[in-house]
Amino acid sequence: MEKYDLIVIGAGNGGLMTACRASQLGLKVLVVERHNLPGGAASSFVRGRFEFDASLHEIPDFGQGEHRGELGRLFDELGIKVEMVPIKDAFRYVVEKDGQRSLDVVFPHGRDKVMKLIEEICPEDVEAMENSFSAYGDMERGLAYFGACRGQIDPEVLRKEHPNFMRIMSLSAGELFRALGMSEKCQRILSAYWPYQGTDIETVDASRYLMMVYGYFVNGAYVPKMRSHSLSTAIADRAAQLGCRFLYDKEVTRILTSQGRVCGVELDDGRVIETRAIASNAFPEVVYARLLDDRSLVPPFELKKANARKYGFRAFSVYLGLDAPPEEIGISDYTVFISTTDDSRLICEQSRTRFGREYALDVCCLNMAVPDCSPEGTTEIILTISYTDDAWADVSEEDYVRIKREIADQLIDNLEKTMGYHIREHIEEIEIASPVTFARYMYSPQGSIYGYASLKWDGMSSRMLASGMEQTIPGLFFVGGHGSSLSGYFPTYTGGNKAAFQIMGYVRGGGKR
Amino acid sequence: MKKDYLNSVPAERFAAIIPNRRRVIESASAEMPQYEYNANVLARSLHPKVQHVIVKDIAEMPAARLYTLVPDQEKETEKLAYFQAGQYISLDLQIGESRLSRPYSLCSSPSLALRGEYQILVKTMNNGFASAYINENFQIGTRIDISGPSGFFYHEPLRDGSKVIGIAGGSGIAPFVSMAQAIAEGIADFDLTILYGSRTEEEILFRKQLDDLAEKCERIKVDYVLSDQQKEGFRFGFISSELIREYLTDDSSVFVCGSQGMYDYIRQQTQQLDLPLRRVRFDAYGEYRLTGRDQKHLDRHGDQKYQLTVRTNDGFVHTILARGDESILVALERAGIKAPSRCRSGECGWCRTRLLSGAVYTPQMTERRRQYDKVAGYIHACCSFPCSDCEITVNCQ
Repeated sequence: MEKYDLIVIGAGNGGLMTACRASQLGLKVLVVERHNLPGGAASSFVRGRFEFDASLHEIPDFGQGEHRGELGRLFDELGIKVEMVPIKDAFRYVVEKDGQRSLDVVFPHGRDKVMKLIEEICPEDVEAMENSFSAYGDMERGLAYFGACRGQIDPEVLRKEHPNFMRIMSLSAGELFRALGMSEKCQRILSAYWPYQGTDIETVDASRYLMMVYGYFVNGAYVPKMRSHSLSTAIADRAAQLGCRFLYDKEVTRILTSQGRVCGVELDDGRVIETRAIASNAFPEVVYARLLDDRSLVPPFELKKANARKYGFRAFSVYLGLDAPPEEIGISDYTVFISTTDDSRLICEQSRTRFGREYALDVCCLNMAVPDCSPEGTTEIILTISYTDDAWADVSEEDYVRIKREIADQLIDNLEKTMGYHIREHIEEIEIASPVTFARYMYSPQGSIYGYASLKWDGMSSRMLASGMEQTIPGLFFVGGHGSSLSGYFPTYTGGNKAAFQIMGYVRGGGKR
Repeated sequence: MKKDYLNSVPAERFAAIIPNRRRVIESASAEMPQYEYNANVLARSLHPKVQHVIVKDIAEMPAARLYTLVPDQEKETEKLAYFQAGQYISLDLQIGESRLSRPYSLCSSPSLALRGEYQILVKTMNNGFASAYINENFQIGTRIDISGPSGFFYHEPLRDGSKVIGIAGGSGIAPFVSMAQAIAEGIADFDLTILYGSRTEEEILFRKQLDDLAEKCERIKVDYVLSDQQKEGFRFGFISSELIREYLTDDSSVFVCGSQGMYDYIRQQTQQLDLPLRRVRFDAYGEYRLTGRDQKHLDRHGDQKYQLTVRTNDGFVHTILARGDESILVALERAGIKAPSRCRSGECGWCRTRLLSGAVYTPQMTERRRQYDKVAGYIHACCSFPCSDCEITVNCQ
């Protein structure tokens, strides 16, 4: 009988990183993945002469050389080698409605450049902006303290040495901006990044928003030269090198328990494999309601939590391979956030339906960072809108493709009108992904790509503080976008890494926590 | 740097984070949570991994048979997945010791799928191992496993012209029969002119059905082209650039489905027409056969036999022989190893596998790998031909 220390269900970012670190720590690890390749959403697909990234736009905190960021260091530490390319600017933010443009600004990377821009466009916000960078520093220091004491926090130390960290932890991003005395205009400009958090800036935690936005501003953003598929494959290959085994095209159909703790899995081919611990890249509700052999073991609090939570963004993306170079299309930016309003709350509200009157369209052109990502004389762009609710709940099998096309058509239309791009006459390849597509490849409820929504009671601060206290079945750990670190590449990688240490503690401690 | 920039925020708020969290969670239901929603159900029903079907009906055609497939309810396939006219399904076959797959275009209307039926056309090809087996052995009641609908050979209005010139050779007519029905039924919205090449009039497949569709629906036209027979009412010769030009407008896309040899010829013709790549689309043609383009490989490795070490994901290691002139996928299938595959022409990536050691040749025509896979040593087994002894990993089905 095969026996493992750890079985990882699902080779998404969280699962892969957990597997890689756990293998490096010396655990005997098996990864079971339903698809025939690793990555989940961190994958790519080929259409004709083009290769599109399924989900990745950019990653914070990678860094290069002396500015190597936390994620870059994690990859180095584990011996994972991937070629990353820096992205020049942070984003361009265009707010336009009915042909009336109210904002068009390009945000650079680099603290000094950001400050220079603020001096130009929001001179009255210079002090508030300086303070927001201080807040980022305080946040980083606080998190470092948290990480160092592995959950055993000394309240006295916290109060004395990290008072601002404590304050930031209790605020939403909007509240923080106001507490810093930032002008309405500056707040709204800084809110451009909200789609990367899946919720408006009055709901998302200041802690999370600061870490991302200022992580980008200070350390820049990176993208792999060969799509996120290179990240996923490199992590999987490294894990395999460290002794991890991978079963692709196989599915865990049951999680087995004994004396109240997990002890094995059953696969779709009927095989039973023993293990001491399980890291689930599958959502808790899938584990509890579908996979677990004994549902009575689930603590009621965990069931309530699963019911209380809301899902994060479900995405709709249009991948376009164009047969003209970016300059001919009219593209000059890597990322453009196009929005009908700079009020993120209004857009989140309207994003409950398939196509609201107010919408935010995110346009990403990889050629601006990786010029040879597509053949010479071509361009690839990805348009994305997101849903804050189960907007595809009423779609039937028969209508599905037509509805997908209608929305894609509208997005291309709006993009051409707003930015003046020449798209239609150059479409050589097109693929459209809806929440159904993400549900197909990720098996996430409703096709969520962002795990659980970052809500006021369930944001980064609250999940972080609660992470040591809320426990499910012994031996069962959750990694991925629904884990305690929230969604996104950075959080799922670092979260998966952290989980591996907890799992090692559990396994080495003979099943005690 | 100021330290007191946040003094307006009461410090006590921090202490309220966890109690707030608990309050919300405690007020929720303790029932088993829902884990499947419409998007999940739809994803599964549009893209089933496998569909168990039964042959319900067989119609004889010139050197071919038309099979009607229905769900095998006993094996818990309740319905058939909807598809886009032009897509294919892949059949799982066991012939003697070999485990293999074959892609066949669905030639029935998508609407028929909603009523629980698919139709596929199987023409007995020269030296066609699988097609001969199917047409000799399949009977009403035969149970088979097929994939979900696959492939990208369908009309995409956001990309393609509204007037499609469909170039079909022999059994390559199948996807166009589906498209024509979809147009006639109002499911698809484009004009279709089919230039259908056969050797002789007798070999024309779906003749009556195509003529009826063209008669009934003015958006559909069929022009039969015979290569070996001069006859009134038919074009004579090959589907040349001149013939294509007769139908070409500014709003045209050329769709091609037929044999590999025909693709080489049509590619030359469309090049003469100066059509941009986006205006010409080729269906996946199944097995790639090495040709003059691949002469260098054939000269050095064509008659060689190499040792292929296969590590499967169920923990077995097999050592088999692989011929230099056959793909690694075929070697696996001959050895009875059920490797995943669908399109068999490089584009679907289903047969992606890791080359642990050794060298393979990938014909440029079939190169559809991800960029990183090329540098990291991953291959598509269906269009990788061994140049040495090799070791690979395979996810067995």
